[in-house]
Amino acid sequence: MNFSYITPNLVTGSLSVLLGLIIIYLIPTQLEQPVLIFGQSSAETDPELFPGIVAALLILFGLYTAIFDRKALSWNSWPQISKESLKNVSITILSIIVYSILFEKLGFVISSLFLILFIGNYLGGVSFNSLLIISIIFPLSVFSLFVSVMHVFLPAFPFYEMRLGNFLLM
Amino acid sequence: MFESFLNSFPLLFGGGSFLSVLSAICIGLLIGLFVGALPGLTTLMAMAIVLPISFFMEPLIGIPFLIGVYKGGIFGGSIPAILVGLPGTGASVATTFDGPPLTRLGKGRKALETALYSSVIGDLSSDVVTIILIGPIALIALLIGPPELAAILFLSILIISSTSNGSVGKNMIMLAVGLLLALIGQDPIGALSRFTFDIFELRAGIPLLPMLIGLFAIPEILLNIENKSKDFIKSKLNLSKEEKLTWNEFKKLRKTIFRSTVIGTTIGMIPGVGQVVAAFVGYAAAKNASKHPETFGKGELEGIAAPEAANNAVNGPTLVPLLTLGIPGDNITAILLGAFVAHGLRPGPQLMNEQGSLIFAIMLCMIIANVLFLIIGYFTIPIFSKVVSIKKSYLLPLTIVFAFAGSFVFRHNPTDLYFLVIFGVFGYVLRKLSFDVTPLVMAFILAPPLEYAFGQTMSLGNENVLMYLLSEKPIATFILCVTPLITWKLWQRSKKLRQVAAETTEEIIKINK
Repeated sequence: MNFSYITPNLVTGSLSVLLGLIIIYLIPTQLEQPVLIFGQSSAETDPELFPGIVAALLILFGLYTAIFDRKALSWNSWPQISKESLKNVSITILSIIVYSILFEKLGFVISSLFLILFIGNYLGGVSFNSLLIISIIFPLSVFSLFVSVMHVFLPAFPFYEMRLGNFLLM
Repeated sequence: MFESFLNSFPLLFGGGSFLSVLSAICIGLLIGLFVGALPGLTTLMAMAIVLPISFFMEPLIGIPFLIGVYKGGIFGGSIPAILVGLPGTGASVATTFDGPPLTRLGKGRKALETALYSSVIGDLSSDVVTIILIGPIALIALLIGPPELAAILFLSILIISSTSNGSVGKNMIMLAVGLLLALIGQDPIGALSRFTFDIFELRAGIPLLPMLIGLFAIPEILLNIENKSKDFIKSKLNLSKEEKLTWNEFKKLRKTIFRSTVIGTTIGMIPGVGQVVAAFVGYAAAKNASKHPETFGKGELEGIAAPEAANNAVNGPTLVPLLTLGIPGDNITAILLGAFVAHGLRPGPQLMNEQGSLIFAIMLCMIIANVLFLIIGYFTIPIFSKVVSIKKSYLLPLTIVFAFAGSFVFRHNPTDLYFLVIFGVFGYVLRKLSFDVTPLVMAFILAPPLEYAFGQTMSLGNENVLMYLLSEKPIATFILCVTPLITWKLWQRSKKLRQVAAETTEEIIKINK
């Protein structure tokens, strides 16, 4: 079976139409209604107007792309991505997801140290010792820049009340 | 308005903060040069990442800092373009035609200096034009009310979407997705919550900064990580031993630089078209006007001067619609809009009226930035030419750390990091599927003021908005009527300009073969 007619434009156009239909379905339940004053709406415009317009645009542009642009040659080919590249990107995405979860729990400095060591080692081509030094110095420098120079908060270490963390802020 | 301009001088030079302003601009230029010189990273990414830092400075320091990053980045992109044929930014693609041949001829230093002087002259001239134009346009902008503003915002979103890269259908889908994302949270008129799905973190809507960093910075990092090679590129040049550009050589480039400056300034005023197109049009015009067009693509200094003057001349005029109407013309000005808003300066018709001195002071900083750019650029060319060889294994994780830190400090909310990751992955997928995120970002930024102006128009019109517009707001009616025509014309023009760019590239590739 020949699937060459399934172009990215066809798929994205169809998804856009689907999204528009989902928005229309959600409008009655996901919009807070204005307070009624003596039976009249207190809002100047109908709250459903703009969401309705956006849903209509999604459907309209989705249909245009899926029907008229589906065979377009330019900007309409599936991306060529090797298994190696996919693996590299997936591992990086997973590592930044873990980093975002640990950011506040372990603090900026320690979580950043782990991230730099992990990604730097994964990409390779540099010595572990130099990477370790950079993974300690850089987060501490950024922490000092934001906290001491710009006076904004970054979670320093786990258990913020630790004396060592407070010492760096002095 | 003239009084505001005069008052900007004591504001900038008096008050004791001038040294801080200079330092901020210098640091911004150095950051921009550094990031621009790296082929894998973009000026846009650098601005998105350092944007949070600017929030914690005064407006007169923070915004010039970002402008420094911007200007440094645009020139920085020409360094790898000239030395190794890899453009550091999209605006430097046309510089790759004559840059590498000049480098092979032992004229890399001349080429870089040509790029520097052309960039400074193009940028400086367009900044002066901007200062002259912004006053009268701001006065006109004061006369517009909600119906006119709604019409202009609507027109702007359509223009930006139709002139962006890629197919029209996809750009329009991005526009609609941007409008959809802007719906989440509270409506700008009655503060009624929409599409929050009872998730507390969505009540304030999607935060702009993590979204910008996610869409612009993270995809660049992921694209560089696809290939695990440790260097961006290898380069062993030693520019300190090469000859510099002579005065006679520079004099021969005057006409080319002037022509390209005019081209860039004109293109800069059209939202959505941008530096890449300006660079190509400048190059094509220089080649057509040359007595020896056959030398282009083989190591011609005019082939460097033309695109560099043109792409830098875009910088100033793009601020005109931003500051007078609150309409960002491209992603860079969208980031600057974020900076202005964070400092409590909402760009729009009232801004020049209320904060005219400050705005003119910022524009004077743009001129100062050009002077500093010339000095710093001249002395750091040999240093930044070595940046192209920096290892990815160091730079990419450090960039991620900085991006996360910047996103967190904005609201001290860990949810912002999740938004950063989500938009980062989303932005990467969009890049791989050849979507341009510009319409999405523009629609997201402009949707709230558009909806607000639309709501005000509806309430001014009472029962019959159409009659109200036809009878009392002829300008708004006119703009709405010509919107389809203008959008169509600009789309055609943009398509033609991109065709010129593609044909020029093909021709050069043939010559080099």
